[in-house]
Formats: sequence, structure tokens, C-alpha cells
Amino acid sequence: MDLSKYEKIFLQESGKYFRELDQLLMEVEKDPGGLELWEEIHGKVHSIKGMAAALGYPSVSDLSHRIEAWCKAFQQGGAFPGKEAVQCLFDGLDALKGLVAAKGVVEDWGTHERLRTVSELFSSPPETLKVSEQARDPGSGPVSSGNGLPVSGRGLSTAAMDQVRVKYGIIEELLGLSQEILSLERLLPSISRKRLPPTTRSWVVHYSSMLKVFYHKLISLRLVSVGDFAALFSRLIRDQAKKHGKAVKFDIAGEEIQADIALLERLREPLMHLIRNSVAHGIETAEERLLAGKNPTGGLFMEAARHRDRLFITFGDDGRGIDRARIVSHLCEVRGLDRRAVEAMPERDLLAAICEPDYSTSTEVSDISGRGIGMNVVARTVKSLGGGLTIESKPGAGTRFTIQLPVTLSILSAVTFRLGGYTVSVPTAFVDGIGKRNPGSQDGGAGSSGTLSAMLNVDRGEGPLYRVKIREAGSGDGTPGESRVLVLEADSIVGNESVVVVPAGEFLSRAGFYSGVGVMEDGSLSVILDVDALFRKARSSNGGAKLPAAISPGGAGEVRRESASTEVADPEGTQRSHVQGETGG
Amino acid sequence: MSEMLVFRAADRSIGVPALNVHRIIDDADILPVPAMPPFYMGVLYHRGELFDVIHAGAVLYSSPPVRYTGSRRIILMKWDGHRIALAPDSVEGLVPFARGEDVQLVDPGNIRERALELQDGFI
Repeated sequence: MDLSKYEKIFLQESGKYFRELDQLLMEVEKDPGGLELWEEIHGKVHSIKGMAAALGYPSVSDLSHRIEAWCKAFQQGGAFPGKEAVQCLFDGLDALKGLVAAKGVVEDWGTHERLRTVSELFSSPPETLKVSEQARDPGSGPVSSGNGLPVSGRGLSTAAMDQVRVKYGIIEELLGLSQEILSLERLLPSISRKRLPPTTRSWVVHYSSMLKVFYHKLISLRLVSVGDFAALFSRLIRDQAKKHGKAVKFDIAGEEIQADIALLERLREPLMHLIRNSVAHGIETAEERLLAGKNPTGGLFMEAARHRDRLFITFGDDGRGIDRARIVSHLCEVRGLDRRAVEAMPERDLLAAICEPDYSTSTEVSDISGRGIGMNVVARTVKSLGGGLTIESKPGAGTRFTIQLPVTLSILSAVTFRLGGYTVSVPTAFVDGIGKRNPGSQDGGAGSSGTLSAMLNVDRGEGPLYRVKIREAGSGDGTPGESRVLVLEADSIVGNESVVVVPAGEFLSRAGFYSGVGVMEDGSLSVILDVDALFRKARSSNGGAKLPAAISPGGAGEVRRESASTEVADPEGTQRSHVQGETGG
Repeated sequence: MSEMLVFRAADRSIGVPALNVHRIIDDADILPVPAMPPFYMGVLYHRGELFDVIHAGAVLYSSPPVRYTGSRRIILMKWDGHRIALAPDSVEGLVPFARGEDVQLVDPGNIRERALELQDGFI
């Protein structure tokens, strides 16, 4: 059925109602006890609700219903509308206007938050509004405090007004300015500090510490919960399910985990794509599901987890799974790969093929019951964020897409150290221990084998003084449960402190060693090592991967050639493999 | 905007559209990064934004890489969602396009692509 004609009528009619409601609210503001006015307001809101429900705009009808409940309470005398209550109705109707104009679809974070605030406001039962004897007399007008607000116990709870909307750009600007002030403070020469009178020095120290706290508080404004983010997709899922004639539910786990809004916003499009594909191709119809012995309602889920310096967001369904045979057919017939080799491919590699550009443009994509359309876009987006995508699928049971991302803007605890003139950080969660190198030991000395300095081709001069042992856990190399230990050398240890992680730019990401840049509490910077990448590099360095010459910060362009031996050991120390390669360029 | 910012690099005068110049800063605090190509001088964090700092002469004309001394002007450039910090030998100033006969006009996108190509060859 073509609803566009009715949608047009709805927009016109509701527009007329909203104009009339504005007028009516201004009248009740002067005459809050006017029962006929409330009856009229109630009627118009009820009409909007009815039309929205008929057109399938549940968010509009839901908010209308809540506002209608208030109007009814005021109309029946169960609550008295103080000035603040009327203002809330103005705000609620404004929100409703925006929602109607958008046909009930919320697409941006700011609007979603506003609507959530408004909905929560009207979720409080009108009975909680207290009514005084004086106020029941229509002629007395509202009882208010000296500043015009309703007296305590009447009107709205102030808890509902404890939030303000702030543009994301303003937070960014404040962050940048405070960071620059931190940098300025750091530029004050130490000799100047020493000459300051004690009281002034004390003031400077206090000022600096307050500024750092301020900066870190601002950082926290950028963090939002995954649950709030996931809720944005509820409407899309509902619409897609209706479009394809399927019943679908959506569960969220790990919703309390916080992540940078900038990161989550970048994931919005890829996740929307996965949802559309899942509902369209993954979830079976109710009849098919019943025949398969499944619940007729298909299940979609989103799970968030954080492990060390990684954020994992998994989206999946309990549908029919990806058709493996179709992928094999594509790889053999379109890419010309040998069938035996393809069929012997590990499952993970086979499924990853659907992310290749040529796969998504296959003419067979419409016949494929898995994910093919635009998956390369999803994979590219995840890669551009410095993350990885893993696909798991079981025929008849469902599919899971796990997006693994480095935690971007957040406060991370990291061990920072210096090596050959560079300042480097490693997330504390990976650090197994720090110790001083024995002067007589072979490792780490000038000209001898090393680990980090060899991988990064750093001139270590006299040799490092410290060893920083890092441990890899989990399935970084595809082997769950197995850990590896890597020893990094350091000339000096700066400290173990909170750093604000800024995403690595384009060039740093391509280098393959770095997960971001850390801004320390005093405003100074460090590069944050990607520990998984280090372990991968260490394991592959026996392939003879040559590292290019680099300029050490303290010297001229010197090219060094030396053998590099990378030690990779299991935690028990029972098995060691030495991987040798040659560095230099 | 009909002007370009002219700077010197590898004994040449080079101009970039003034429209793409975000800011010119002095005494930039640049963090050097290991395992990066010679033209890459490090990262710079300015007012909440991270910039990759690249040596103009090295990326455009393969002039010898230089050591950062901490006292040079850095040109912060932003365009089409990209940003780069360019380290020239010196900054000359704004010049109308029409008067830049001896100036080689370079698009920041080309600088970025050239730098990425060089990095690909380096990795």
C-alpha cells in the first residue's frame, strides 16, 4: 500500500494541530486551571497519536501518548500545571514536531538524546505532581515561589532538568584549548620555575594540577555508552523486519561499556549495513524458522566488550548463516582459484572473502543467502579505524561479525619510556614487568641483539638500561589461550600514568606499529605501540622483512645495518624460538 | 581566495592555495616517531588535532632528510577532511596567484599522495 499520500496528509494535519497547540499552551500558561483548554489540548494530541499509529510511526505515537497522559491528568484535576510543567509541554511538543517532520526516524545522536530526555520527562506519572488546596481554586492562579517557579513539591522534579545539550564541536574546541594551555605551561623553562618565590611556585603547581583535572574531565564528555548507541538501531531493525515480513528481536549486551562517540559514529553506517543484510538475508521467515525448529522470532544481537586496549563490538543473528558453497563457487569460477585449495581454506579465511571488492560486485550476489552486498565497505571502514573484522558463521545457526578496534579517544593507563630519543608508550594491561638490565648481560647492549629497537631500527647508543616485558594474551595469532612474551628495551622509564589516546593518523596507521598517540597529563606526547602488531612482527621477522633506515632524533641520517634477533617465548619459558632477520635499508 | 602561501624548500619557491592553510605555527612541539620514512618528521598535536609533520623538500624533491631543531615554522594544512603539517625551509608569505610566475603551485592533495607513495615504497 502506498502510504505517501497519507503521510502528506498527516504532515499537513499535524502541522495545523501544532500551531493550534502552541496557541492553546500560551493560553493555559495564563490560565492553567482552564479545564476546557486542557480538554482541547488533549484532543489534538490524541489525534496526532492516532494518525501516527495508523502510519506506523511508533516513536511519534509513543511520545504523543505520554504527553496525552499529562494533559489528561491536568484536565481531570489530578495534577496542577505549574509554569515549569507548561514549559515542559512546550518542549515536549517541540520534540514531537521534530519527530513528525522526520517521520519518526532518528538519525543523529543529538536528536536521539533530546528525545530520550523528553521521553524520560513524560515517563513520570502525572500523579507525582502535588496539588495544593490554594491551587485547586481556579481563580487563584498557580502558587509559585518568588522567582516564578512552582514551590517545592509541586510542578516537576528538578532532576529532570539536570542535563544540557552540548554540540560535539564545542567539546572538541574546549579539549584543544585546554591541551594547548597544558602545552604552554610545559614550555615554562624549569630554570624559571626555580627562581619563582615559593608561594608563586606553589600557585603554579596548583594551577597545573587543576588544569590537568579539567582536561581529563572534558575528555570524559566524549564517551557514551554502547547501549545508548545500540538503541539508535532499534527503529531500523523494526522497519527492516516489517519491510521483509519477518519478526525480529534485538538484544544488547555490554551496554554499559563506554566508547568515544567519534568512533561509534564511524561504525554507524557499517552496522546499519550489517543489520539490513542480516534481516534481509540472514533471518528466515517465521514459517522457515518453525520448520527448522527455531523460535519464529528471529534474533539479532549486539555485544560490546573491552579487553585491554581493544574494544570488541559483535553483531550477529541466529539465522540461516552464510552459504559457504556460494563463496567457494565464486572463488573458483570468478577468481579462478583451485577448488581443492579453496575447499581446504580455513573457515575464517573463506568467510573473509566476502569482504573483497570483487566479491561484493559479483552478479551472483542477489542469489547468495549470506552477506555480499557492500561488505567491502564495512571492511574498509573498520580497517580505516585501525581495527579488524572477523566473521563466524554456522549453517542454520547464524552469523557473527566481530569488529575489533583499538580504543581511540579514552583515558588509558600506559607505561611510557624513552628509547633512543623517542618517547613510546605501551598499555599497562600488557606490561608484565619492568626491570633493570644487568650491566654484564648480552641483551640490549650496543651492537647486540635487541627487540623493540631492532624492529623500529632505533639507534640505542650505549645500550638500554631497562627491560619492559610485555605479554600477549588471547588469539592474537589465531591460537586461543596461548600467550607470548616480548621484551622491550628502554633507556629510561617516564612513568605509569593515564594518557589520553588520540587516534593514529594516516601515516602512523600505515606504519603498522602504532595504535595511537598518547597525550600525557603534562601535555607531552608519546606514540602508543600496537602490541598485537609487535607480536606479529616478531613472529614474521624471520621472513627477512627489512626495516628502512630511520633518522634518530639526535643524529644525522645514519643508516645502520645489524642483525636482529627477536625473542618470542611462551610464559613457561619451556619453548623458545629465535627469529633472525636483517635490518637496515 | 585568490592567493597562495609561498614557502621555500629545496632551493625552490613553492606555493599552496591559501584556502588550504589552517595556521602557521612557530616552535612546534613535534614528537619524532621511529620506523617512519625520512620525510616524516613526527606528529604534532595542535588544539586537539593530530597532524603528521612532513618535510616539504624531502617529500617533493627528495632533498636530504633533516634533523628537527625545534625552531622552525610549520604550516598546518587542512582540506577535504585531510590534514598535514608541512615543514618548509622558510615561509615567505601570501602572494596572489597572478603574481607567482616563479612559484611552483602545488595542491595539498598531491603532497599527501606523494608522501603516501613514498611511505609505501619505504615499508
